[in-house]
Amino acid sequence: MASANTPTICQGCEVTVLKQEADPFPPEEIMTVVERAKEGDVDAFWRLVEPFQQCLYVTAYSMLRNAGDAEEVVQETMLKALKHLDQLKDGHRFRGWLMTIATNEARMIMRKGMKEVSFEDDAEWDPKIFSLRDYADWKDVPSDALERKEVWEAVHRAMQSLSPACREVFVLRDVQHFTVPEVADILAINEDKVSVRLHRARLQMRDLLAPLFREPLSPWIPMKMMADMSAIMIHRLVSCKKVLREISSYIDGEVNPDLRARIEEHLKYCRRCKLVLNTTRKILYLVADDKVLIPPFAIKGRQIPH
Amino acid sequence: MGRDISRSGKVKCKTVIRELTNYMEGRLSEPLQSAIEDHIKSCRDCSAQMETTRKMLHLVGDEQAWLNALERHVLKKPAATSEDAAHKKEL
Ligand SMILES: [Zn+2]
Repeated sequence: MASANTPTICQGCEVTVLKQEADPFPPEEIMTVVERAKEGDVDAFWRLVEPFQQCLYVTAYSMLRNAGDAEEVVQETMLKALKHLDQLKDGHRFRGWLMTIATNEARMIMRKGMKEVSFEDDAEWDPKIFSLRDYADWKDVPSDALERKEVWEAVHRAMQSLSPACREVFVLRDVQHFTVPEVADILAINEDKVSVRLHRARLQMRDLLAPLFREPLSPWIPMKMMADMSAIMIHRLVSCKKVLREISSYIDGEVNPDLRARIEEHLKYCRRCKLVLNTTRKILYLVADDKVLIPPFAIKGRQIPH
Repeated sequence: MGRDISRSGKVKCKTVIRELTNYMEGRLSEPLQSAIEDHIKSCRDCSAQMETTRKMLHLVGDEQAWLNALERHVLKKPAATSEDAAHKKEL
């Protein structure tokens, strides 16, 4: 069960989370700090656990989906870690050791909420649900899509639908990136069991999240554009009607500079008018009106909008 | 495990789906690991099974994205902010 040779501090956490706050101690130094903490240097202990707060919070929140409960898990984990520090034998296992405490805390909260929560039963799952389908049209959804409410909600609904046993394995392996042997160690179950639960969790998550990957997400308007939009609103955006009425004068460069600027502003955001403009230009060339037959780049001294 | 592979070294789609996680984790012993690799290369359905699983894992597997999302959806909620801040201070 012990995995002294497998590094417990995961790459992902080290790179993305820990750098933000305090740097974690290298595993070989952890035991020295642990010794100091055991001798009553509480400050050393806090410096030791502080870098792990965020990943503990992510783990707890994704298991419980409740901010208050997640906070409680993080706090209890810290306190229990301090209390039972003498049980930590291997500095390399420190993050996994914290995670074991956190997982147990999360389980306790889940048990409080429900009459019976099983972390053992692997029975109720029907693999036939996940039959072969055409998944060829799945698009990529970047991980920062989690910041979008509908994606966040969907991911949490899907995670909550996993059995608690599958959910904790999924969170530890696929969110926290512990290895399968490490997850087995943290949860004190064998690796095959981890793998079976992970497999169910992944297929179930994937199938439940399928709509996110198959349907086009509503356009994600960047903040910058939103800001521009309101600026334009304030400056009395010229209407589509007006643009369409003025379109041939605009093409001929016969509108006054103020209106021209407003039409151009409008065309930046209105695909429909832009389309009409382009089509109109093409038609004008096609009908061989001698005024516009000359390609715009050949005209000197007359401004042709493009 | 022997009966998952035919005499010609092939596996069925059913076996690939059943072992997909073990395969992706590199937990299978040879020759099953290689047989599945070959199968996935030539089977559109099974390669889609793996790709879609990867896409899902990519979405949920970025801790920084989780933290940003938590900030946005959970911690910045007006009702929870002061309480959360108080908790943080206690810690
Ligand atoms: Zn196949």
